[in-house]
Amino acid sequence: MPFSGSLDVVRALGSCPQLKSLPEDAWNLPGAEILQFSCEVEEEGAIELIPPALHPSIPPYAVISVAKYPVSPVGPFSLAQVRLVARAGIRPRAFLLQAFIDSEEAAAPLSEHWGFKIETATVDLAHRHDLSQGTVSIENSTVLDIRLENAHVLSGQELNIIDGLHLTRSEIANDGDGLILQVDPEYVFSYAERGEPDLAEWNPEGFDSIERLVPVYPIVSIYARCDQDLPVLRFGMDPNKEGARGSVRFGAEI
Amino acid sequence: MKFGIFYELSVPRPWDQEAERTVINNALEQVRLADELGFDQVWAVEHHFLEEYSHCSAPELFLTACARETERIHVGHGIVTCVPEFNHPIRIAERAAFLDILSDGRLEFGTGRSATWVELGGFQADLDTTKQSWDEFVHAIPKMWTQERYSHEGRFFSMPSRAVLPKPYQKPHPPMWVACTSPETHIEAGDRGLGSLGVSFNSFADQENRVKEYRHRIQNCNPAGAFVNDQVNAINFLYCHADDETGEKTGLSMARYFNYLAGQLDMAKEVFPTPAYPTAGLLPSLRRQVAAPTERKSVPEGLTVGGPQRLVQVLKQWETTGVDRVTFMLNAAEIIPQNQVLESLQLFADEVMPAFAQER
Repeated sequence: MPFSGSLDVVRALGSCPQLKSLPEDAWNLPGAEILQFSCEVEEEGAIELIPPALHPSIPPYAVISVAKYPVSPVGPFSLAQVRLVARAGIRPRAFLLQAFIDSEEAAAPLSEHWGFKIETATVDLAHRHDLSQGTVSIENSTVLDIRLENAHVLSGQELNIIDGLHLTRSEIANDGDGLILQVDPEYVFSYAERGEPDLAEWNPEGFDSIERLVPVYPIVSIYARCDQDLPVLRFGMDPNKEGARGSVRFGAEI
Repeated sequence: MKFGIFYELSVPRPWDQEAERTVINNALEQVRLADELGFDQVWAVEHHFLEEYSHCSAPELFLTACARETERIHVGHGIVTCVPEFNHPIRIAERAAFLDILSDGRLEFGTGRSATWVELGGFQADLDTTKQSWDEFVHAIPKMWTQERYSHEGRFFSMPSRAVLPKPYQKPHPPMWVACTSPETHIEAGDRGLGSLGVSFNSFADQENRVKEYRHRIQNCNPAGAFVNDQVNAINFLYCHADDETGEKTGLSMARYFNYLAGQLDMAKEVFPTPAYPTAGLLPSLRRQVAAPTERKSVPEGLTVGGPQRLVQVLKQWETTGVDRVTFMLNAAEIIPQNQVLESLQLFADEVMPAFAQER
């Protein structure tokens, strides 16, 4: 049987967002730009970062993204996410470890309705023909700096952005013992690039959910322009029950 | 209609000292019995790093053991990964020829290019060019076998004139195959005159369409080797039990467990975007099967698990799709006890094979 995550869910919930309610409407986010860096990570730390409901990917790898959203119901914002890829049963899912955002107006709804574990920070994305760069900094100290170099153009059909899972504190289901939300945006890509990956800076100290994440082998970076949404949520899962046994369909009997 | 068997060599944790040896020895015992019972091919995959799912990284060694312990069954080396970071084509040709000699000319030579990130990334392969390297290898290797000396100037390897030795026992060379997971690879197999080694689990209708297209293409093929191999193999699970319900329940458990292990693998395209892998390969269909509601008890279309009469009916349907042979996985991660696997093989040979004896 594949390994399962060993995250201490009770402890982790202490720093997870409190879900106020599920989103009533999807957010349309047209004209988005996304830079995503993928990297294999050390196995020992990785398995402690995902809950028992999930299997670690083989090999464990993380995706770090920085995105710019020029249009949203709360105005423009930039969002960075650090995720660890795992399996819910056999389905690939990217478990959110930490997000960073540059807008207080967007931070609150993303946390309260979509369960983003989120910190306010300076989040920048720059796209040039020879280099794309995404950074997160707090008080002039760089937390992360991801890059794409030597880009070449791809069809958007080749891209695969894995659906997300967000651990929350919630009374909606599972008796308040924590609930993982499945956040599965739709993307319509208008432009895509693939290039050499570089993690120019990685300073996660101070963020307990990512400081044990040790990048070891860069895989690829992609850059894309797309229309995206933040969808109405359909599925959740118990963080302590594996795959289908712990799944919840919102609006249906639990 | 002919029947073969197929090995991934799945090894469940915990991996104590005996775990892998037990799986390999059990498989060898099954192969010996299959040979006696009239199964005509045994295939072993080449996979690397696939924890629990497949520990079959040196299939040529396993198949050598099979060949030396049997008399009639053909040994299917497949697929050999035709990607330069995995295997140099000279070494592929040498090993395969040696195995053909040691098996007294019973080698079936399968080719492919790998599709998982854990393997391709592990060898730091160039994912964009695996199709091209496969194509170069499948054209070069038969020439290494048939020409006394061979030289090559190519994109993925070059060599001055050398005698690649030994030469295969079969003349001009062993039958060549390619692993087919998508409709595109069936076409590529047909165009190159290669046997179609089905490694995905398709519906009857889907399989029939693929076979039709393959048969059409192979009539006008430009063979990669010295002759055309126009055989089509399909893959399936096998568990045969006198009691239909027991057979279905046990066989389904095996199939689901194997698919669950397969579902843990990241296909190359899921991790590294590239047009070289236009489909995600085998996994989407497996994920659909495993993701089916757990209360579902019915056996999926075409799955060969259950009582002998059911298996005859199902295999007659497979026959109508145009496949020449069905190769079976007999176990997964040892969830079926070895004695039951052997009994299943025996019962299949006693009560199912005779229904297809005229064709064999």
